[in-house]
Order: sequence, then C-alpha cells, then structure tokens
Amino acid sequence: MYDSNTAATTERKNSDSPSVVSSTAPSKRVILTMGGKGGVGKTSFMLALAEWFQNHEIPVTLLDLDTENKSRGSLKHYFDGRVTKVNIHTAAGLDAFVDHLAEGAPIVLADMGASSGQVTHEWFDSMFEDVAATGVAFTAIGIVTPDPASVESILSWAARLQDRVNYVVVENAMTHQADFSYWRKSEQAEQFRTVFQPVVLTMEFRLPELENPARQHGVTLGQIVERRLNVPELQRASLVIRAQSYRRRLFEEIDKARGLLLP
Amino acid sequence: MDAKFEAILNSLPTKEPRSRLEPYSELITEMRKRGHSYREITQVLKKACGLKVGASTVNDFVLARSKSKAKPSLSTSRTTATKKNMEGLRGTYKDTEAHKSTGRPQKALEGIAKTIKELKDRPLKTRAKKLLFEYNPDEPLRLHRNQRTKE
Repeated sequence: MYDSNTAATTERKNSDSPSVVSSTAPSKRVILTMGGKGGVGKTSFMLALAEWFQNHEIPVTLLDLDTENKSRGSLKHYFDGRVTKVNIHTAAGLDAFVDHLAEGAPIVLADMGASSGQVTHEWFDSMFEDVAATGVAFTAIGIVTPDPASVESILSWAARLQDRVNYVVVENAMTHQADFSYWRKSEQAEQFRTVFQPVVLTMEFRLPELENPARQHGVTLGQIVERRLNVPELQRASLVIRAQSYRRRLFEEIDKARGLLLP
Repeated sequence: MDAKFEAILNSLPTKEPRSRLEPYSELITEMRKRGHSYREITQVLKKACGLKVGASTVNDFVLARSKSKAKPSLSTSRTTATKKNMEGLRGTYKDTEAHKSTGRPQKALEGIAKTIKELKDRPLKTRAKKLLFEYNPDEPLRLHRNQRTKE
C-alpha cells in the first residue's frame, strides 16, 4: 500500500544523499525525462525545472530531443535560442549528452520525446559504464497522471534503466481532483518505489485559462509573473498572482529533490 | 628417443653413405685445412685410394658438409628455442652469468608467467546483471486487493 509518510521519509533521504549510482560524488549530471507517453506534462515540468535552475543562477544546457514535438509546445518553443535540438535517431544516439557536458554547463536538461525509449535504453547499455566513470550521474524524471498508461511507461523505462539512474517521479494533476490510484496503489508501482525509492513530487492542477494561453504563446510561469510578454489574456492581475503562486509551490516541490538534481 | 622408435631404427639395415667420398671425409677435410686444392685431393684419392672422382665432386662434398655443420636445421633451432622459453616460464630456465648479475631477464620471465596465470584465473566478466526490478508491459497494473474491495 502506498504510504505518504514512508514516501516523505524516502524523499528526505534521497534528497539529502548523493547519487546511489556512483560510489564517488558525481561532478556532472544529466537530467532526462522518461519519454514514452506523450502529453503527460514532461515539457511543462522541464520548463519549471529550467526556471528553478535559472532562479538559483546555476547554468544548465537545455537539449530538446523530442523530435515528434516539432515546434509549439516543445522546449525550444519556450526557450528558443537557448535550446539545442538533437536528433537522437542517428548512430551516435545520445552522445550529445557527453559532448555538451564536456563543453559547457555541468548539468544537462534533456527533454526526451515520446518515441525515445529504445534509443535511450540502447545508449545506456552501450555507454553508461564509461560515461559514469567520468563522473556523470543521471536522473530520470517520470511524469505520472491519472492515466495508467503514464505509470506503465515509467515502469517500462525503469525496467530497462534499472539502478543506473536516480528517479524523480512527478504526480501531475491534470484535473482538479486527480486520482493517482494506478501509481499509488498498484503492485508493480509499489515494487518500483520499494526498489528505487524515487523522490515523489507534486505538480498541481493549473487553471486552463492560465495553462492554455501559456502553451499557445510559449511563455513560462516566470515570464507571466514578471509581465515580460505581450499577451493580453495573460495580463490579468489574478492570473499573474496565480502564476506566481503555482511557481512558488512548484519550486518548493523541486527543492525536495535537489540532491538528485545537482551534481 | 622413444624405445619403440629406437627398436624400429635398429631393425633397419645399415644404409650406405650417400656419397662415395663419405669414407674419406676426414682425409679430405684435413687436406683442405692444410691448403690442398680440390685437384690435388682428387689426385691423392686416385693414387692412394683407387677412387676416381672429379674436382667439382670433391668441391660439392666439402661445401655440403660445411653447410650442415654450420647451420643446424631450422626445425631443430626452433625446437630448442621454444624448449628454452618454456623452461623459463616454468621457472627452470638456468640463467647465464650476465642474467644472474642483473636478475632482470629472470624477473621478466617470472612476471610474464605470473601475468599469464592471473589472466587464466580471472573470472570472465558477465554482462548479464541481475535485474533489480522487472516489469511485464503485457500484464495490466494490479491494484492491491483491499483497494479493489473498497471499489
């Protein structure tokens, strides 16, 4: 049975301890979303994470590996100019991780596409051991929604990635009273939590009048809060305050996983 | 040699020397050492031994014998070298005086032998790692029994 107290203890333990993957403290980290199920909010969470790093003035490299999500709604749509689009369906696969870590910031945020599973798993099988030996740690972000398919997706990824990554699972409430039964109460998900002890975060439901125009115009919560945009429907005072409130609570959630997000 | 092979060899009839000059090889060799020409050797063989041969035949005979003495056959040479190496690897190779003074070659041989042993004893790295978590995507997610009862 899913126990919120146990989960909270696990969260504290994981967030304060270094990677369980590497015996030595990692000096660099790749944070990647576990693709597989589209439309669960992978990019929304990565946007928030990018803003969290920005807020702490920690440089990150943003990689958009979502080849299906061509323009609107992709990471590049929100952070154009700062995002590198990578085609993972090549022989080199995810070698971009290594190259960007060697050349730039110590953290890579990689937004994986819905069809990236096979390529990612194969890359880990062939490259992980040697990349990890250079001091690179990996954190996989799984987004679960009330849809059981989103749970199945992260379980499938975990069955392939095993303990080569740390896990952060984000409960994305896509409706007002979201029911996460398949994530919280299924035997398979419980086994996953027991084995890998993921840090579990909450991403609360956002009002459609805020979420939809933000997606449409490719603006982040931070941009809405700072009123740095020319979108009339997002300048309403109540929406600006609501965006600020969402952002603050989400940052508080992300703080819980800081041990798995920083090198 | 194996006793069986030795018995076979002993049972074979004695084979005549392939060259007619074989019985006189000692005489020919000694005359060459004393500076006699091939022509002079043929004259002595004719007068003193009643053997009529040409100077070129004596020349060929001398050359053939000198070659076989100077160079042991390639196979023999290789066998000897291999045997020495193997003895060295087994630690029974006897050092020359030079080797004894530095101790290096012996040390190197011992090092190689040790490396070979370690390499043979090293367990093979198996790629198949025990899975910590297994998931069958073909099976539906199973809710806990008490959860199903509630519903």
